[in-house]
Order: sequence, then C-alpha cells, then structure tokens
Amino acid sequence: MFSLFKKKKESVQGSSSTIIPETLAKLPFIHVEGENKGKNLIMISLTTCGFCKKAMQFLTDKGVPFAYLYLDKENPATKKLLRAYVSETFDTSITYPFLMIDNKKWISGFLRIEWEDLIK
Amino acid sequence: MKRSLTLQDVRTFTEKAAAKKGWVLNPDDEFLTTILEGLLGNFQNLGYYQCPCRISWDDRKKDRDIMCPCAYSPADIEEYGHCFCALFLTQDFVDSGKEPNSIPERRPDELFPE
Repeated sequence: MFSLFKKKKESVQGSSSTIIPETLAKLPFIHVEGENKGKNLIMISLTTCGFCKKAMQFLTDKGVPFAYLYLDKENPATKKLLRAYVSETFDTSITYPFLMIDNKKWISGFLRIEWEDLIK
Repeated sequence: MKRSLTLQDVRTFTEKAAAKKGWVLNPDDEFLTTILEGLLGNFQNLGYYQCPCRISWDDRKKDRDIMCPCAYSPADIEEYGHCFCALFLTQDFVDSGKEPNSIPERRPDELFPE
C-alpha cells in the first residue's frame, strides 16, 4: 500500500552507521544507508503522513543515512516509550516527522529550508 | 453485502469537503495519494476518517476533533494557506506556487495520548 523510496538501501539493525540510544535499542528501527555521513539521525514517522514521506525521500535523495520507525504500526507500549523518551530527552512532544539529531537536537515536521540547513 | 470503501470513495469525500469550505485538494498527486491512502487505512481500522498526520487514541470520542477535516483546519488554512496535513489548501496558496511545509500543531498537547 505504501510505496518504498527510490534509491533506498536498507540494512538490518546492528550493521548500520546510525546509532540507536540504549533506551530505544530494542525497537524495530529500519536503517537506511547513505554516503553523506556526519550526523546521527533518527526519525519517528507515520505511514499515513505526507510530510513524513517527503522528509524520508529528502534524506534518501541526499544520501544521508538515518534510521526510522513508523509509530502508527507499533503497539501502545512502544508508543508510550517513545513519547516518554522524547519528552524527557528533548522536553517536547512529538509531531511527525520527528527527527532526533545526534540525540541532542530535534526537528519537528518537515520544513525544507530547515532540513537543507541540517545537511550542510 | 456492504461494499468496502475504496480510494476513490475517500477522494470523493475529500473533494466534497473541500468544495463545501471553498478549499482545494493538494495538487501534488503523490503527496495527495499518501494522505488519501492514510485516510482510507484509518477508516478501515477505526471506522472514521482519523487525521493521517496525528497519532490516534483509537477512540471516536477522543479523536473527534481530529476527524478529517479536523477542527483546526479552518484556522490553519486561514493562517498558513493549508491544513496541518497539507491535504486542503486555499486556491491562493496553490496559485503562489509555494511548497507546503509542516506548520505548528494547533491541537493542545493534553488532547494527545500520553
């Protein structure tokens, strides 16, 4: 139902350059590989959201490695864990797409200019 | 036997909702299809058109304000030219040629699941 992204190379967890924080390590993040390394990017997405798809396509097109998870496909315990993690770590709530940058900064939503700055 | 909902049904629903409010649907067909598929999936799972850009309570009463078109869309469209999902746009926004971007969440935090 949901189309995959062009040029995407996925790998199983553990062999990726994207590091998942220990608290979230057991969650089924999908890793997308890329050559344009530099920042550790983890995205929380919804399968149903147009901006999420756009954001993932943006990173994929730029060759930036990242890991993502579709929160709407997860069970209530995972949803609760992620919301609590984001709240405690970044003192904010999640809107989609939600991007964690080096586990220090975050971007909520897809604003192209902001995402362009991110990968400079 | 009851016919199951199709993507075309969802498209028709959103077209009618847009026409009623004087809005238009996002002209980016790929973007639009993602949202329409999301609405279709949500309807099939929940029985109502839950906003595809927000997480659901899976409870009709608690999700009432984010059933599409959501309670926040008139104000968002007035201020930004498109709704939170960028499903509904003003004709002026379309004519401007600008790309819709995410806008701030107008729904209060306390209305989301914990």
